[in-house]
Amino acid sequence: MNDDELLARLKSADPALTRSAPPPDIDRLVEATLNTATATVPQPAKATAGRSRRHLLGLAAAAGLLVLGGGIATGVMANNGSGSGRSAAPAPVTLTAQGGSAKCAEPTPDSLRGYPTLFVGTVTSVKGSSVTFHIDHWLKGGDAETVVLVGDTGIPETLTFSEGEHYIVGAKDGVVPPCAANGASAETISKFRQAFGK
Amino acid sequence: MRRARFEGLAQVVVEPLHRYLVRRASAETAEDVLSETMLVLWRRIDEVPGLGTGSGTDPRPDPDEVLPWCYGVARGCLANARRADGRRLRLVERLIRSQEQAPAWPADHSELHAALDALGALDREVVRLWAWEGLTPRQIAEATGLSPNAVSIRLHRAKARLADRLGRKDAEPTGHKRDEGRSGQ
Repeated sequence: MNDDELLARLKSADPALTRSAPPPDIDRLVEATLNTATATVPQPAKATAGRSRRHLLGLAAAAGLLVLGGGIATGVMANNGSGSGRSAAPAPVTLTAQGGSAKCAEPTPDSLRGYPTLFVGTVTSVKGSSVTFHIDHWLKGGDAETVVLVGDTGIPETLTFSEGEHYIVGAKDGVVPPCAANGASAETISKFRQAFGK
Repeated sequence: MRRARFEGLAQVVVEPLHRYLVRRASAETAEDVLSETMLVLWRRIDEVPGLGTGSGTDPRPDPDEVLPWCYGVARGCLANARRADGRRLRLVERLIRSQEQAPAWPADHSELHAALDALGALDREVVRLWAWEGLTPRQIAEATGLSPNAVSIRLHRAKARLADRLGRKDAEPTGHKRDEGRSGQ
């Protein structure tokens, strides 16, 4: 029996040819996957599930600020640097934010204080919908050296980050809601560092 | 973006992955493991080889590029499910499985399945990936984590062993019962 004969014989015995299993419904499967994924993502230890997002932000527009809004689903992955604290959680966290269309005011320490995760970072790369930050300062909850922000959005233009620019980013339950990521001037950053004692 | 990439990937891989699982497990197990596999693929979407950043115009990846890796994920999920089953319902599950599988394999293929069963688990998987999933040795290596070289060697030996077993049976005029074949070994 040569290779071809063996192959033909094996193929004729392929159980997929005879087993009566209904073919999967791809759309339903995709939907179920995304629903399950958002429902079962592990949450950071510090997250308080009961806190409503409307406590957190929703401010008016100011010039020169980055606007991150409009149905954006965003996740934060902490690339672990020193390996302790909440960034030690092994799985990247991705959740879907129900962001409405939002215009954001200049962030203040008080307006961002509600986020369990808050950092000042410099964008080192923007690839597709994934933005990598080098962390300049952790203001709250984290010790990784880099953070990858994954925008999951049908409207990519709402998620605009520029390499080399500084941003203040807040997240809760692994999600960066609209208005929680803002471009920041040196002045704003120093105000934040002062307020958080970092 | 992420979602669009996942949807594009799903269009390409769901049916082959389903066939992969149906070939190796009961229909119910296949369905469960398929859901689990899709969850893993969603979580690890950035690691799927051959899946671009999604910035291109065509969201559908090349099956030859993405499938071997996805088979590897399905294989891992199936192994996990089997371990969990084994802990819970070792006996019951085995009874159910043997009842389900017996009628699904037509009598004229029983020798072939017996010959496959006589191979080691990894050799058997390599042969199945070659014959049923139609993978090249390099792709089998990606799905199993073996080196391409090791795959070639295993595949070569396993094919020889299968051909030997089946060839000998073909030579026997009444070699249709698998028990007879076994006793001859």
